[in-house]
Amino acid sequence: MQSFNDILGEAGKLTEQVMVVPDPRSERVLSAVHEAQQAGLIVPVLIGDQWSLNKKLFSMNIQTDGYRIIDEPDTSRALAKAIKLIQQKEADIIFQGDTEMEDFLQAVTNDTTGIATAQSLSYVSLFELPSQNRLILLTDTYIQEFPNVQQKITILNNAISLANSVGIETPKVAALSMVELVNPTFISTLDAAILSKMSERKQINAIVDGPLDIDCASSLERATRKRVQSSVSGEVDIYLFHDIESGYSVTELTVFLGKASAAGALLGSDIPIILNISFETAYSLLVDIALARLRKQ
Amino acid sequence: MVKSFEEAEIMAGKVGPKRISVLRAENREFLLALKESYRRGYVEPILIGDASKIREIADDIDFDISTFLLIDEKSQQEIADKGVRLVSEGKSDLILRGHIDGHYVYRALIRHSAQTGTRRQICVVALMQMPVLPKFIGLIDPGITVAPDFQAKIAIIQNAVDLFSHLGYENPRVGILTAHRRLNSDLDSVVDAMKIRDAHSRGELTGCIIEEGLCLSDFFLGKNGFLEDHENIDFSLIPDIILAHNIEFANIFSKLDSMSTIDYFPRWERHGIVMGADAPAIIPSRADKHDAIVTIIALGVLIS
Repeated sequence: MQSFNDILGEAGKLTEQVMVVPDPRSERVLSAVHEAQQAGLIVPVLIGDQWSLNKKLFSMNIQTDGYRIIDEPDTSRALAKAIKLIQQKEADIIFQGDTEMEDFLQAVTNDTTGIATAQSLSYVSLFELPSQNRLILLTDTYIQEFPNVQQKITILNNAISLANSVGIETPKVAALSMVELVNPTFISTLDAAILSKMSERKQINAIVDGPLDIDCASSLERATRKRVQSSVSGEVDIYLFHDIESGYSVTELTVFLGKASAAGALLGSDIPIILNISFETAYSLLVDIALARLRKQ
Repeated sequence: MVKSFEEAEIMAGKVGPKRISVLRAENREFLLALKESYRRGYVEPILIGDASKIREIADDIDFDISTFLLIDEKSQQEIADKGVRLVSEGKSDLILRGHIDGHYVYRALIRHSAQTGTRRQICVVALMQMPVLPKFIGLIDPGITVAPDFQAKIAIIQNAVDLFSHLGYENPRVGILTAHRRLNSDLDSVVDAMKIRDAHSRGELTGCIIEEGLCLSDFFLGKNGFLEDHENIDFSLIPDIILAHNIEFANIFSKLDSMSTIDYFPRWERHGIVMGADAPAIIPSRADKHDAIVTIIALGVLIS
């Protein structure tokens, strides 16, 4: 798949699944849900204050036949009910809706009542590159803050599985740092070298090179000018950031300064979980729902 | 208030000429740039390097350097040290990294400030200009401080504020950029941001405003906002100075356009200036040709 349109197209071919949304209130969230339902991606189950929900949907001109609406005005109870539905297999996907990020993540990763393990989770942000007719994946852009190399392996494997599900069979990965030479003072360079070696030994199902700075990773011309030889220069599918300061902020920079649409996927759980990220538009959320459908279980 | 590199080139002619130590001048692109900068009244060059090579190239490009101070020196570290020393001797206002590797210059600057006891934090301020923003921004620090603690961050911010005040900004807005997401986390960058704000309110950091937000979503969408569409983003909300938490991120930010020059980041222009030493040091990138070098000289002239 080379674009968000392709993702929507492919996901549209699958039979729809049930998506539960606790406390959906904003037009942004509700229109994403509506578009996804119209595209045949999902059957929505909304849990919230039934009266205001119906009023909102009516004002947005959204017909609710095909929707299941469960009345629960209390947000945390709505969230608990949504998770229960997942556990009882009455819903296949859960979308954060307008619940608070902190509350939502805590609820889904709760030791006893949750549906995912915090340590396995990571986030991938996707951008289109229209000039190159392909997608790029950035990770970890939301969840793991200062991953060690073991955690980076998890993050990378999650991203690889997402790459696979959008048709990138053996993704090329750049393990980013600010220099391309390994320097024991800079852990980012050590981690990058380790991951490269692991890919060489086929311990990771991708072509990983690093350390690379963003210049050498993104442009074969610049890499050549700097005399850096890499198997991934100019063809990177997955950008792996050293920590969340780079991962999250670079994604925001691309969205705001680049005016780019960022789609995203929370990975590492059996059940697809979709987050409501501040810099994702309603359209991005729609693509996220499609991505959740495409994920191999 | 200088808002663009073009404005800087216009203003520099009115502020100059300043005396500029050129570290290892024996390079055609640099000498072409100096010829033009001299013509525009920006600078009076002090040329340090291999004298005979310098004369040869100057001759070749019809640049009369006979009235300039020409210091013959072949060792790169010596060149850097001499150039830096000229500033403390009051003989130069500005340092230009010529055809020499940056680390010689950093070493000379650090050594010199250690010797003279002016232990101010030196740092790189990357001035970045892009069509989407109404003015250029200053990013700190993509070049020198690897993992600054909050004290070092305060010093770096002060350096950037000094730079911007030379460019006519009365109270530049400083944005501390962190990976703050709307969940509980103990990011060091956020803890540092709080300490920096406290220091600022106690007057330990002056001549600037510290923005409320902690991430770009905060700056552009407000603390609880969500992105509805790209067309309504008010880009004048971007701070003048942006502090990155660590060098890995600052480095990527400063070169982010390489990820997509066509689709997302067209026509980015950036120039690096080392602040915190006795005089600013302008550091053209290895890829800069004479026209870009003239721009960075203009900036250096305004800041010195």
